[in-house]
Amino acid sequence: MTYILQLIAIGISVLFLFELIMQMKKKKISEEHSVLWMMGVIGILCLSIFPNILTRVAHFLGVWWPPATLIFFLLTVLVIIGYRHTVSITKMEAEIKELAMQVALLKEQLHELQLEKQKDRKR
Amino acid sequence: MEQKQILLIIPAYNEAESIEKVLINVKKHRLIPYMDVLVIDDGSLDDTAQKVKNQGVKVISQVFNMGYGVALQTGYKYAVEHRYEYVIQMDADGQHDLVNLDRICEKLGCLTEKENAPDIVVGSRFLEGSQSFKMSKLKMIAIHIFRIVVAHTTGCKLTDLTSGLQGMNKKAFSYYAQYQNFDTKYPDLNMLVQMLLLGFEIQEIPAIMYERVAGVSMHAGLLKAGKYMILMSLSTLKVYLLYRKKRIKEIEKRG
Repeated sequence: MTYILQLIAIGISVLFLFELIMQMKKKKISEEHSVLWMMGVIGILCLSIFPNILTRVAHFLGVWWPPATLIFFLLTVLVIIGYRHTVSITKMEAEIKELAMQVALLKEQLHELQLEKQKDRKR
Repeated sequence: MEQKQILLIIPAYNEAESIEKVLINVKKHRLIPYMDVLVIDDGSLDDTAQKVKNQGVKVISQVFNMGYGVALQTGYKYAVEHRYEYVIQMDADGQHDLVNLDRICEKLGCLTEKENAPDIVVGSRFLEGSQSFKMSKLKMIAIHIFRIVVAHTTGCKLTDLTSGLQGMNKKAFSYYAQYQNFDTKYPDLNMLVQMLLLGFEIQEIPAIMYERVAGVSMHAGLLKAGKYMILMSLSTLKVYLLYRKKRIKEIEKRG
């Protein structure tokens, strides 16, 4: 790995980490969701600072082309993040449906109360 | 005003063409003195809700379209809130003959006290004494598979597992009304398997059904039917995995 590539990788990781923290500060990303992204970014940061890790891990796993380990690592992180999103979307769907049901029932109740009130006034 | 015992839930989605006729017939039904009618308009794009209102029947309009299951669950929640004793559900497309309501009512013991009444009554298109239209071969294969699945998982021999015509007592619909206890997309055999595993008793009555006149069926199209089969299998597997231990415990208890 050349020094320029190493610098770019470190730069992007640091910037992304900074962005993550800023968004968290602005409450646009919840801590729960940012944790996985952060772990991924910190992992890449470590790898770009110490590229030797990659060669060693590749050697340990018997991978003859070290960057393949990097791709594997990245894919794992992305798959986990995608999966977590599906889980939270499913939960949100159920919650939205429950809320919509309650809204429909409350609207009906309100309508009934208004009718009763009108009747009382007429008396 | 005295509290009526039975609530008839009719979920409707884009059924403006048939709902009026159904409601006119329902209003003439002999059970009306004991029964309130509630139409759940599942975010229809046509004027279903207005047509129901014109008939003087209560309608709850869903905020947006969310599916058949959500409409039914809203009805169950309404029934719990208004302290009904029994719920009967029927389709809005006019496929179900109203004679079925009497049969369900009798089986549930709504008006006459009955011992050992079941918790849920399903109107079956395949029992002796029922009357139905011809179904495609593919549909019959699916129905046969469903029967085998239910027989294996619960040991219960039901014939019609995708019937929209059902009646149930307070115990059953109170359970359905709770958060996430009812399938919001396709509540068919998965829900029946769930209830059987939980120890609810389900019985069938022969139902009389006609072919639909207007509107589009929920499962039109081969792709949609395939999606339905896959989702239904997964959903049934889910409730089986979730509740089978309860079933085993109950069997052990009985000895």
